[in-house]
Amino acid sequence: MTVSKATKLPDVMRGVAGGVILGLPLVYTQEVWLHGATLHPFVITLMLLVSFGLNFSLSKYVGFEPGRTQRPLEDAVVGFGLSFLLAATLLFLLDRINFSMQLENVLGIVAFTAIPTSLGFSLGNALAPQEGGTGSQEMKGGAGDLLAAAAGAVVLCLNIAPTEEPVLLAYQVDIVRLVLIIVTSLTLSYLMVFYAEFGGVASRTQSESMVHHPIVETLLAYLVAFSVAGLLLVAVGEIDNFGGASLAEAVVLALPASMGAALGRLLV
Amino acid sequence: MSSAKKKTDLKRKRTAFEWAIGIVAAACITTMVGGLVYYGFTAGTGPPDLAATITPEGEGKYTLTVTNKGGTTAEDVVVEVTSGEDVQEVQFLAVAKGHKEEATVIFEEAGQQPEAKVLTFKEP
Repeated sequence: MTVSKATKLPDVMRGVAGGVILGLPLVYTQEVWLHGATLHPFVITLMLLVSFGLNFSLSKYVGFEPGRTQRPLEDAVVGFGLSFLLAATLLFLLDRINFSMQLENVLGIVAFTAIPTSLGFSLGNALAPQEGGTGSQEMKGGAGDLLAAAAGAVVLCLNIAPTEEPVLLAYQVDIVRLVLIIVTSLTLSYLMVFYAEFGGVASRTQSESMVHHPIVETLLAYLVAFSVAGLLLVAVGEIDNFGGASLAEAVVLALPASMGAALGRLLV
Repeated sequence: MSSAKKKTDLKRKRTAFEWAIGIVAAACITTMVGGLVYYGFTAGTGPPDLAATITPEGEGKYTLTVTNKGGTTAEDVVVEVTSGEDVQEVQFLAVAKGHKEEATVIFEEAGQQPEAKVLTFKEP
């Protein structure tokens, strides 16, 4: 008879990965910022209650931790609560909430954004199969990883690139936040791929390939994600010159792109 | 899973890390839900109450500030800024209740102090 292992930081990181992947598209949506501040607090509270029920069910059958679904209520509380922190951090990073805003509006926007984030948190364990995607063994090697990174980046940011939000955010976010966005993109990518103990992390860390060195792979994948973000913005006509404003737009869009790139690499 | 294993697992003592994240998560939930319920009972219910002010920044630039002191968010807010014969319109996607939005207005010819007034808005 064995006792399931205790929750550790990599388990929580798996939930964070799920939360970021599902939550980011809504963080980049103006209507979410607007409705978070517009809807009556009771309506948002009701949505949170329903969302918590979904989190409980997901924690019972999937969760953010492999082999541990015996304490769904405890895991749902952890995932739900930490999702508020995660959503608030992302919104603050993009200057969608700040200290000059009314607390009522801040709570509404964070709560509204935390709903998909928490569902992603509870699905963290199912984010990537332990042995990679079907046929992924044929994509091994540095080139395969970077191809998967590019594909993941396209998938996650293609629905954001044609919208107004990257332009709006790039215009409103200051240089300090832009630097923090780059640091966050790199840190989250690294933690998702090399720390969260998804499938394939062992072979990755044991590989002698220079491309698979954690720091090199993280930087290369970010470069790929940044390029994908920039090219998509050019393709949809959001960038028509190469000044500072265009660079800021690419940095803003490279955050979801780098998360997609990390997910793509997890599937290989 | 057998019921014996489940029982054993539930008896396992929680680690310090599990307690820590559990307490932080519970505190976040309590704060968020508590805050929303509080504001649910105290939230304003009146219509948007918009005021537009304009502040000179030098070299023909002015900061237009629209404040909403009402109990409802105003959407598609249009503000008219007039300086002598020169008239400009500024649009805001929304001004949330209790919040303010700012924009920069430029008049190439420095004339008299511009005036700003809210022309139209929608209630959500």
